[in-house]
Amino acid sequence: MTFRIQPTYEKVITPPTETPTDHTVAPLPEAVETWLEDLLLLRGVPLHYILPHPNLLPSESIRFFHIDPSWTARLIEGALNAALVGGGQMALSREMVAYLRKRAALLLAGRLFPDAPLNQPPPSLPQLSGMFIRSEIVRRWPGLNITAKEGQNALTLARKDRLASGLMIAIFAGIPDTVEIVEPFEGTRFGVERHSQNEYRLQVRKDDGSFITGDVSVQFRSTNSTVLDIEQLANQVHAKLGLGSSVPLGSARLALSLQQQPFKQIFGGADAAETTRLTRIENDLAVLQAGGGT
Amino acid sequence: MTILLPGHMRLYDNALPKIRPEGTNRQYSIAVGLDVQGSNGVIATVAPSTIQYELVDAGATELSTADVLAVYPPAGAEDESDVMLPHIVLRARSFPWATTIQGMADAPWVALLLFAEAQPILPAEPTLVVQSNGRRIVKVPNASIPGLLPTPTERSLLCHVRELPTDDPLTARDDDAFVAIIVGNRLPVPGALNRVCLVDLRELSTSSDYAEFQVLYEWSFKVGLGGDFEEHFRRLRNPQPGSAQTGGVVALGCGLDGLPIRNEDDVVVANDDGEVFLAAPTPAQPLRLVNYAGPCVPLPRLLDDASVFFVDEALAVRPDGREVVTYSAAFELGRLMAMSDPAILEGLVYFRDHQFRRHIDLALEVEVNNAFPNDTPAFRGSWKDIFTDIWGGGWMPNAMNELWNNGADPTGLRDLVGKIPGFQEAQLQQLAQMGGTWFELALSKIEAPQASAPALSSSSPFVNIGIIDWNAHDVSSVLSNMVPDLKAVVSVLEIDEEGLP
Repeated sequence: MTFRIQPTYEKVITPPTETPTDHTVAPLPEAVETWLEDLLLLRGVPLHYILPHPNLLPSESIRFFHIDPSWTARLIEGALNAALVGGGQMALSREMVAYLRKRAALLLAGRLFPDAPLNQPPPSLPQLSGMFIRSEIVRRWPGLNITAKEGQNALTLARKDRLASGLMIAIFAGIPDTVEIVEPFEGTRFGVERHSQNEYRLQVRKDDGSFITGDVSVQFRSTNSTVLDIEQLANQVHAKLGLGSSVPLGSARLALSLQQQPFKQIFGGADAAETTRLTRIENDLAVLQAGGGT
Repeated sequence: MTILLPGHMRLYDNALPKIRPEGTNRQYSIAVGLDVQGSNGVIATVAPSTIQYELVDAGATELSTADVLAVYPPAGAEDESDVMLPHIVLRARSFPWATTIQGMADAPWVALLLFAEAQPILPAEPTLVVQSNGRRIVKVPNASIPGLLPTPTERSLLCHVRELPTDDPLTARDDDAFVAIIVGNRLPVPGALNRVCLVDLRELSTSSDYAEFQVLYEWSFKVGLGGDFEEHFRRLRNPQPGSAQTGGVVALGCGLDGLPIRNEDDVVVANDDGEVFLAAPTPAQPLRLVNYAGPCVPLPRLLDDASVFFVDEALAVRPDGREVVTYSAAFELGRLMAMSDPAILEGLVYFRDHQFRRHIDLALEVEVNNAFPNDTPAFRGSWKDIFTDIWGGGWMPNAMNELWNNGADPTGLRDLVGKIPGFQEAQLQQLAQMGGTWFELALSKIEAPQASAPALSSSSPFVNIGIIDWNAHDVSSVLSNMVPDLKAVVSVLEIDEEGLP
């Protein structure tokens, strides 16, 4: 165990308000500033530095993470170190390096929160978190819509990139308690829902578009056929809606039920395994803090 | 009829045209009359004349792309879902009901047929045939007709009309807000090329083997394996037993059991910090392991704000002696990334140089402010200007000393020592003793030469440099007295921070 683990969220980066003592700051080329900002979002960082072991991200998996601000700080300091080819006054001082690192965070915060009120102190960069998606989903639906929320507030999506055909990274400005992944909107679609290999169901909608509790079974013309028995399906929808024999179903009502909305996958809270993990780590920390461990 | 609000839509079972060329009522008449109204009533009348029309079914022709607003799945798509029915959106809302078959007023005369190529699953899949006259037809084997073609009732259920608000983006390409939508009755076949044809159900011909239908519009697409979006997520969230090391949704660095990850041999390869154990063998320690965590970790961490200046400063060692190379690797990676990009490296070096120059500015400004607390000279644009704006005062030697003593050479002459005949260290020292001030004075090409050389006190360190003609207008003349061969070089010297890259 290390001693850096902090279970609580804090905004750890404070914006620089003035230059270091005995220093002046000449303008940094804009391209370099942008590059440094992007390092905070891990842009350009080789994937094997981010995921140093293949088992960290197996196929068909989603992994949530926090970005270690010390790691990106060291990354930026190393980048600035590349220019320190001289000594004495030709070198950047420690104060200047720290200033540039904090300035990069401040500029990134300004980029992420462009609508921050001007009469308020500039926004600071919150703790960053994110998720990896390694799945066929990324390849087939590259335009995934990802929304992260902390309570009712939507967090800014700091980065969403496909790193490979089936690999996506999303970074949030903050630590969300809910993440929603929504199927890319493709206009109107009609279809059914598969519940198992050979079982298809359809949720029935009322005339106002709301769903009726429960669903109906979808039958096919024959075994091994993918041709739907539309008449039989219409009868079931008709019965589910309780229209009565004098009111025909009509194609409009059937289309309303067949119309499929984009699927939304919501992640929130901790499952049993995650709860066990956090409990175990908290216990380990308690032992360490009590001096009972190494 | 109420106006549709944004985000709403209205569906209709059909849009039956008033007149249709079908059945016994194909003859229509139009009567046109005229009454002219005056203030006291009708003042003129034209007797109605009746025109008889007979609507003739001219047969169907293929639809153009202008007639079709959209199709789903998109034509040529590769990874479509196998639980979505194909559909086509037509601009003409009454098109599916423009004529009738066998007098069934509400049953559309068209249908969407989907059939699989390459991997047929029906007893005999239909085939698309292009005739010699370019006409495209679908041949449906008789054995497949009952299982494939929608019944008249189903045709009615599969066609509807949709109305959207006029400002809805989906209506932007339509001439009005109404479209006809025809839905297929068959789910796509996974792994096969699925072809969808909008066909005229009035058969062209029949034989003992198949029926032929004219194609009005057709497109094809492929279906990806594994179902739709929802199905993929269902599998991803619930990996099957036996795949404990794959799949699932957990924190990075954990297995599905919430424990740190293991390798294929069930050996733990990470800890709860998200650090993995990497082999870093040395000759003395062939089995040496080090801990490394990437920037993405399973638990939040606080920033260690103490800047690292050298890579070794970022190394850490656990109480058990295990090295943690997390931050030293990040530091070194940052350095390598900057050095691998010439533009970034150039920008950083430029900044460093510029910072140094600005540092000199600040040092001089402080000196000037101290010397002239109530009358700051206006030389802030370029530090070089102070040599022309101000005659050497008590503060100047201090500023010059700071420059020279700290290794700075604003003239660049130090690099020329030994490179130019006659210009040796002794000459440089001679110049250095001038404190830089007088030398710079000459160097800056005084536009309005002083009437006479400034009176130098006997205590001035510059007194002994009598060989220099201070009335010379440029440094070339000055230096030519000292080092003749230096003249050409000095004449092109520039001391200006704006000359930096």
